[in-house]
Amino acid sequence: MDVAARGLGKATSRSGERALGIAALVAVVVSATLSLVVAPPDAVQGEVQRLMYVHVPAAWLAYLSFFVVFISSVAYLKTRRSRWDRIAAASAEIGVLFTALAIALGALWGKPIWGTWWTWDPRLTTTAMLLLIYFTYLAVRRVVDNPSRRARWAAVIGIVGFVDVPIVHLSVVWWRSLHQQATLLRVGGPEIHGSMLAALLVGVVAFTLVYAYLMTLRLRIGRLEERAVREALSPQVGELEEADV
Amino acid sequence: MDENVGYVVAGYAITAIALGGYVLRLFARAREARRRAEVVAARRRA
Amino acid sequence: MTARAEDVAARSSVPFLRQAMAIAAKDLRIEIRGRHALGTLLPFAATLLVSFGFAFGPGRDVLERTAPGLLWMATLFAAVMAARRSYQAETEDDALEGLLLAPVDKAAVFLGKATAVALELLVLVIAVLLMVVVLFDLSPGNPFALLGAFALGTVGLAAVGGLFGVVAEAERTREAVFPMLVLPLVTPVLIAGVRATDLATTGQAGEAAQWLGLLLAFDIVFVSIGILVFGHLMED
Repeated sequence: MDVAARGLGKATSRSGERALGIAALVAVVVSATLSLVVAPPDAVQGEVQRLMYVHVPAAWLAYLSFFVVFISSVAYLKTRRSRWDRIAAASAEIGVLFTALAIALGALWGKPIWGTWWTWDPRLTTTAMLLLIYFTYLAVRRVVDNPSRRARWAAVIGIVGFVDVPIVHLSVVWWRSLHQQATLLRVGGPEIHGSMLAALLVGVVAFTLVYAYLMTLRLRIGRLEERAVREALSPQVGELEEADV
Repeated sequence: MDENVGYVVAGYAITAIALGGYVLRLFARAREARRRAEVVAARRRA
Repeated sequence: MTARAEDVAARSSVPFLRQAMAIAAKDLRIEIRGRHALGTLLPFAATLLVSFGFAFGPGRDVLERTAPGLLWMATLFAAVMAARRSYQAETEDDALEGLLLAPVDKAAVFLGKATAVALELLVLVIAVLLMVVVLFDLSPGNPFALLGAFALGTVGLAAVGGLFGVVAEAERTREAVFPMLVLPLVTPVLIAGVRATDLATTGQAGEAAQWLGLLLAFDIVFVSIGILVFGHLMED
């Protein structure tokens, strides 16, 4: 745990943060170029298929974010170090953003392909449930004042929510198998064009870098806000150094 | 197929606005949080 | 961290299951005396059914086809209300603190409360089932599959409700937070329950097996997780 902590410390230094931000920006620009210019339009779906290069990475990040929430929730309950609670809170907030984005992009992709904005596609539906669960995670965090209770309750929701998602997905897939439905991801012919694969992978990398950058930003905010609260409440004089970072 | 270009534009625009907007909001929150922390520290030192 | 020593002592003196059953018995005694399930939840379910009849009737076809769904929606809402009531009873007399300090395994509190809620729900469900059979002309079909679906379903709902019921009584919890917490999590119960009920009442009980399996898996997962993490919700 401590090696990870020190690594996190390095990444969250201001120069490290800036470097990460620049890397993310570059990756995004490269990804956009590949997705919009270099990759050819799909043989079957046409230009609309280009939404895959943002929808799939967004969905991947949505699930990665909540995996991070899960891991840090477990770590918090085991160690009670507040850094894990900060990481969980940050990742949940960012995760909700990516999840909502993934759903919106899925609907935008689906409208021209399916004819409607929403058809209860199993993957999109599970993602929507994920959004609801983590919305509630954030709501509970807002509602509980006591910091220790807030962290514990959030951690439990983070764990239970994540464990539930595969079960939800299974039930939705079985439910939808009653009505066969074309999935968005059946792209092109039997072969996927090389540049399409490259665009997708670069998109995933770019979004992951954006996630990492957002995390460092959000964590810095979390530390500052926590320090402000702690120092306002503490009667002690002298530097309250990051004892639990 | 070309009439669907609008969806692509909308999708990429929403992505840019959502991510960019969130980054800007975080910058603002960081400034605010640092300011508040400094105010508290200054008050304690005084 | 506070009650650890007591936990150890408690675990060795009274077996875990007996602690849970004692808590369940206490909750059921309160329920029998207060008659919350019969007095409040049953009229609520009946109102829901009748309203549904007005909203989607009077054609019998639609009502018959949507009866399983309505049954389970009513059960879901009743589960949320029953779980909330289970914890409301504690906070009303500050009994929750007493429970916290008592030398009882926290997980036993979860198991006991969830058991009580499940039993209350099951009784309620049977009554609602009879109402639906009458109001919406639902044929009872295969009673074993039907009962199995509801028995497994109510256990799952009670597990989730019993786990997070503590949250419903928190400081600034708004009305909608607890249902919002429970409903997405019990989606598999809703889907599997409705499917199984539909199959059981239309003479296809054999195919209901996979859905019953899903309900069972959900129950096992959530009861286990509840036992593992409930303690963290109760500390203070």
